Amino acid sequence: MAMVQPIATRRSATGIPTGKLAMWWLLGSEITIFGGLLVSYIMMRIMYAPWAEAAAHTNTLAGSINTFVLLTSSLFAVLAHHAAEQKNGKLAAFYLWLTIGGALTFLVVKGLEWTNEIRHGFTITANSFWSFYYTAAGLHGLHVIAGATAMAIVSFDCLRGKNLQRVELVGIYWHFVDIVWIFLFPLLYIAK
Amino acid sequence: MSQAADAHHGHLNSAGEHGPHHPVSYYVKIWALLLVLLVISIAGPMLGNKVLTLVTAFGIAVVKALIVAAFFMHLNIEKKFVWYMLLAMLLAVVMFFLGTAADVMKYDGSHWTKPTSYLYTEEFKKAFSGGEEHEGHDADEFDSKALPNVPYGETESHKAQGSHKSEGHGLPAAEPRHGT
Repeated sequence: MAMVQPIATRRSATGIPTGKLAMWWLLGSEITIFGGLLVSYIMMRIMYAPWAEAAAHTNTLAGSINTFVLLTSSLFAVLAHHAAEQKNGKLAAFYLWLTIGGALTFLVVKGLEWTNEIRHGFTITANSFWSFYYTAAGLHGLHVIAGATAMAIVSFDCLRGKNLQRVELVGIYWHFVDIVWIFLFPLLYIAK
Repeated sequence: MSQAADAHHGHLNSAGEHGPHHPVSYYVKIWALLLVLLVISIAGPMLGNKVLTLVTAFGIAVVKALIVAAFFMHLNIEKKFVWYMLLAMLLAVVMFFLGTAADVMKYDGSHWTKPTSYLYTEEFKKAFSGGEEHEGHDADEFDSKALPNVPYGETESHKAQGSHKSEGHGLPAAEPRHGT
């Protein structure tokens, strides 16, 4: 091995490098966070008639655009991993920045969408539906920001050909952020 | 498993594990499939059929999530351990659901009634959705006005006496439900 790698990469007690295993555990804990949120939403939505009324006001176009943006950014993330596998750090960094572009587009669309909703009086304190809406979408938005930040940090190493294995780890995280949105999308925007 | 033990199975990537060996077009095809599913999930509910909405919106969400997990996160070639760990976490969510649903999804039982139980009655649903245009309607305001009418612990006797019907919120009280 030409370059000394961090222990998270070298050690592999389960047959999975420790860094990657840690990422899977992180996502395991995220499943309980977002799973709990989504299940709470489903229970309230079934039980409480005004939630269906309130859900009719969400912007399906904005939700659809953002789903397209996240699915496309996931493609770029996996292509970055593909490039890193081939030891092409510069190409991996390029794809990571395309993914970050997707994250920024997502946040801009979300910002415009929220501005419009708040101007119509649908604020986080309007009622329990909007309170949930901003909590769930907001928590997801924070994950988008965290993912974009992590990808930016990894991309600088990629440009120097260092720690290319990390591209896969940020990619796995990013795909999870995509999956959470895949479930939020029908709940908040489609089932009206 | 050590890298040496893995080595005879084939190529190892920088992390000392098997890497995926697909061309770029493989991932582009999966992405295209995801977009087709996205279009179906948007178009399906537009037809207005409730069953179709559930299948297209939520069924396809599950399919999309599995496709992303299997082919983008490479769970299809990941060690089974990861599958078990993720499934265990999903099981935890199901346990949380079962633990809370017994309370949240019911509004009365043999010895208790929620003070907000009227919110879940058909009468409330009709009164709520059958009224005039409620653009910007504040459902929780409605909620707070009605709360004092059905305090905890008194509802069963109130129901027996029929004394709190149509108080305050202008809606009939929830019918007592039995067999829980």
